[in-house]
Amino acid sequence: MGGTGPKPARAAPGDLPPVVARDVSCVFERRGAGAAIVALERIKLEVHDGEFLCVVGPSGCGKTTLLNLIAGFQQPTSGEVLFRGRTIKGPGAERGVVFQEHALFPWLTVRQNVAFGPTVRHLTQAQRRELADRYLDLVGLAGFSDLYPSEISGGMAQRVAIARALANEPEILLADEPFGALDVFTRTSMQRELDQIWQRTGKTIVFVTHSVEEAILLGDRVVVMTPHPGRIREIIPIDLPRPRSALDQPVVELARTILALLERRTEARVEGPRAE
Amino acid sequence: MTQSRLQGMLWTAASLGGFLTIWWLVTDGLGIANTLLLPSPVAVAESIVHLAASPHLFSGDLYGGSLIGNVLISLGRVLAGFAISAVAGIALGLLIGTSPTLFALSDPALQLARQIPPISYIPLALIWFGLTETSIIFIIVAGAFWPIFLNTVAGIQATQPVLVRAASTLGATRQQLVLRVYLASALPQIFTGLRLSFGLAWSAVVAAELIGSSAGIGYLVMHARLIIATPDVIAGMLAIGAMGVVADMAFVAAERRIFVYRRR
Repeated sequence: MGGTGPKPARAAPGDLPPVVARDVSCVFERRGAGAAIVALERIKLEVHDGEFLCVVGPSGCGKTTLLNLIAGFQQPTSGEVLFRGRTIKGPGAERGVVFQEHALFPWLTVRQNVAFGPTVRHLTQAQRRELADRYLDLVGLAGFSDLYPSEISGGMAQRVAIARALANEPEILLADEPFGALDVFTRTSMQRELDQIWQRTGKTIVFVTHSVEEAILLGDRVVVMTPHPGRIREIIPIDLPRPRSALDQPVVELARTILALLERRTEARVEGPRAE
Repeated sequence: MTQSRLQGMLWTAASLGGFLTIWWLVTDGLGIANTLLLPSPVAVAESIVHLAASPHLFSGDLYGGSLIGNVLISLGRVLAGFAISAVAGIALGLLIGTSPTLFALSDPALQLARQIPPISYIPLALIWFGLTETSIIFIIVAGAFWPIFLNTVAGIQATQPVLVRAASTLGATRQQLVLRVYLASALPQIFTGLRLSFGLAWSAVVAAELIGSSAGIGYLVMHARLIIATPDVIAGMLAIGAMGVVADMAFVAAERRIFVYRRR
């Protein structure tokens, strides 16, 4: 994937890891008498160049908070999150985000939405159009560029959102349950499509999901998180050929392993600490 | 489409026709009303033709110009006051809508100020500016500013946070966020404000002219009262109403053209 910008300021892959979380904790004070919520506790994580990293866990495990920290929407209470060695202080174009809701600008056409990043970065009209068309083609929506978001389906809108994030040529793509609001059939085909896009672009992806199956189907590694407080339970490498199917025996077995990890954690919480 | 359009036109004709028929019956038809107080639609129509047909727009013995001339004078004032209100209302609305601190600081005072009706600014305007054009424009702005300003603030504040986040991750600067996200998102509501404001501006100009002007449609109506030309009074009132309808239709048409994405 060659950059079209004048001079993309990106470190050579292999230099510094794209994202490092160093002992990151995130505490939300609750108003009134209630105790503070520990969304994340002493998280250590390193994202590798070019990998597809999935983060999975039940709600309340802090996976979205973790993504928000990398995106720069929030700041950690302690510890730090680094992008190529520099502390993340806010959102930036080098970290593209795909949200759970498509978050397309309703007043812009599909093509104008995809060209938003190149437009605010003042690329020429020709460059904007070229980028928008290239990435719309990549997500298979070349014929829909002049429609408005209200005129396309939820699955299509999410593909446009992916194209919009990619057309800005970020170094890393962050996705927060992007397929969570889609029906099962659309979801399955979107997973296949994202897998292909990742293979074609070689983009580093951090993908948050509450679906264990989705994490195994897509991830090079799966970060398993548990709630109260939000912690990383385990990081599981997935060395399976792609494309993967939910019915493959190794996928089923891995899913069982991860679910067991999550359940054991829940039982421990209910029954109190047990002697191992 | 054409079917429903035809139906709509039939209803409009029936509504206006019914209104005119009742009016005519009450006056000329059955002779219930004193036509010195309530002239018949025929007399008012004659008055409209007479006042509108005058070749001199801005000169004449009776009202200092024709009906059209006086309407144009009022319209000019409305447009001036409306333009000032739009620029000030949108600019201040953007500023306050995007700054929670400024909003918290100014909201209580603004809630009080917005409740003051534009006509109650007339005495103040007369003290400050006397019987001048400035007074009239001031009174129009005092009314027309609020809907634009308040709708801009509300529209800005209703911007979906996820759209702002999305834009900032795509590299938008603060200024680009304000113009390309907040303003763009608030535009339909700002337009509603503009539409309301234009109606208020029109009421305000008539009120101001009734009291402190020697030209304009408000002056025409007031002067007709002094010489007890009741048909001219009603003719002037109908002209005011017609201008309002035309303006509102223009706004609706513009709205449909601009906000294509909402219609689909």
